[in-house]
Amino acid sequence: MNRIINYLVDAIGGVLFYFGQTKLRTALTLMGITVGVSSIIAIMTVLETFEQSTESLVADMKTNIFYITKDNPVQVQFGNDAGWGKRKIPRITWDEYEQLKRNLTLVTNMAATTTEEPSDRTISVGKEELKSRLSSFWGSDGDVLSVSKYDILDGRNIQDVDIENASRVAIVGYYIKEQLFPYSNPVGQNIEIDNIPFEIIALTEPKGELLGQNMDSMIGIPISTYLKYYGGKGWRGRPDLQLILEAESMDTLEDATDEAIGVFRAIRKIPPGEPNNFYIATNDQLMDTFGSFTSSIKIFVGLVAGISLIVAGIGIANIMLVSLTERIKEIGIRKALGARRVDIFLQFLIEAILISILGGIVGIILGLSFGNVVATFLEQNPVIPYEWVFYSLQICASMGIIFGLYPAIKASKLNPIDSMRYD
Amino acid sequence: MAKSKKEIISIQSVSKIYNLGETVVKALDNVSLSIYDNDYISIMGPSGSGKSTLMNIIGCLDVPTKGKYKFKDELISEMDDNQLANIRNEKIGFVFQTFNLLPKLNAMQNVEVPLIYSSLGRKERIERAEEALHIVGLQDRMTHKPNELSGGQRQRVAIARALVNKPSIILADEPTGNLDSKSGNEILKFFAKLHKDGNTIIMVTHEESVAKLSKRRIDIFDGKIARDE
Repeated sequence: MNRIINYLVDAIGGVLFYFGQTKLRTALTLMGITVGVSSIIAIMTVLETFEQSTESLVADMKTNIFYITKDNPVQVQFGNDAGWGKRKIPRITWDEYEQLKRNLTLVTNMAATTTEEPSDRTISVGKEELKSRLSSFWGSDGDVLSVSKYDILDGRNIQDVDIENASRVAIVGYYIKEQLFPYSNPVGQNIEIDNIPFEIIALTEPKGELLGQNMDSMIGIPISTYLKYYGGKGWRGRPDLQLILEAESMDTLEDATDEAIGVFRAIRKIPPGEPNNFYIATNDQLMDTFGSFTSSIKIFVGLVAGISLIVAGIGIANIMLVSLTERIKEIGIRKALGARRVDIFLQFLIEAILISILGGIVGIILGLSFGNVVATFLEQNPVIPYEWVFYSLQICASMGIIFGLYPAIKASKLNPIDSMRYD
Repeated sequence: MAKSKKEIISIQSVSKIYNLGETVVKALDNVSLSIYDNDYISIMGPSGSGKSTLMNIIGCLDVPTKGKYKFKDELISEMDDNQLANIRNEKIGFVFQTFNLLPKLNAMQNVEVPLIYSSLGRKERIERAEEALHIVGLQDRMTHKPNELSGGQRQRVAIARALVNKPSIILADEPTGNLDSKSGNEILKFFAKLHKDGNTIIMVTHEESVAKLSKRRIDIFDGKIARDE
């Protein structure tokens, strides 16, 4: 036991001294490991922050909801959908929505929405303008509040009569109240959206942030009003509707989606055998897609980091061989003074492990800092991916062992007489 | 020679043959030799005579090709690398011409090196190293690195390192070869003192004046003992 402690103390002293002597060389060798480890840790930190907020998103989302959309709801993250190529995908229209609404039996709640996220519209009250960009501006019928879990703090929801009349009424998020009505209740007051006046009919409860988005920087109006005033011009021409549907419960969700697909295909007169020309997704599927997205990032990062760590490992083997050549005489002396093969072997192996772990620790610190700076920038809570910190240290130690093995064996086999004469 | 003394080293018909491709070099040719407790021996001979080979074999750095080498009751000639390392660590104190201190370690740490390999705890290591440096009179230089010490001081650190494991023999290879005459004389005086204190010293030298100070002189020539008196 004493012998092992002796090696450790001796090896740490040796490594530190050696670093002192060859600062630049050691720093360059360490850089390989540091870059590899810090990239793993940084990306894992960022992913972890995302996973955390996704978890809160999941907890916040109703699981009995599904969507019918024109575009793949997760397409944003993957770029253009390759499968459908240039085939024309029709927008979802108000007519289709109304037909669907009439025919579905398993859906308890349904809303058509069109959303600008973020929205560049000018929001003003009198001469006062909202300084920051509006996170979300949507048109919908009343049920959207129930399905997307906003709760009304004061006022009333959008009602059928508002839809029928295309009334200029608006529901505003708490952030709008804070910014434009700091000292009064906005309900009943007027707000202008692109200079068109609206009466505020409701203020929603604060929801905070989700995935870096301020959920309270939100204004909602009746869908018919949206189509009437904003539908034909500006933002992407005619808006395309997203349909949000709510099944009675988790248990009926599958039947409800099946029914919705069948009815929607019938509305669009899609012949049997043809694929859907719309997307249908449940919240669970969205989460799964996100999950598979993060795991493919993880695999990619793992590959890149793996390659950079192998390169770094070769660097370690190299520096240990250089160190070996420079220290042949020392090895000879140590052997003459009673060091056995295993002593020299362990001395070199421990040094290699220490070098890689040191590089790893620097990498972990850099990666955590970088990852958390990015997380803070994306307005996520800082996290430490302990699991990956542990893995990284393990990887570094194994790298030290793997790449330190050959130099250590070589050193241990040196003959004391010849080595002592070496200069 | 004091034959009544206890035999430490017994070398019987030892040969060392180096096979260098086409030529075969007989560095030692059928050498027999006994070394006793508290001997003070100088081994002399021109270069290439085989004295270094003899030193290496006595010092357990090398094993003979033929013959038997017994150190106390242990048969060195049959040992493997690790067993030889243990013998070197426990029984032999080396003093080299070029000191062979580790440049990165201070005097104290250099003296501690053999103790690292004898599994001693840190506290005991420090005590023993301090004691050894006291013996060689370098108690004030313990934290100095070799490059901060004079040649004579370096050799004294090396002697302290040789003494620290309380070895059965001290093996010195040209210990004054790299020193000026004043420092050399100091070292030799020190060896005389160590001998007086009961240590067994074997010294390789090519200087008559140095050899004269020893109690027994062995001349090697062409791999054979030419004189032993």
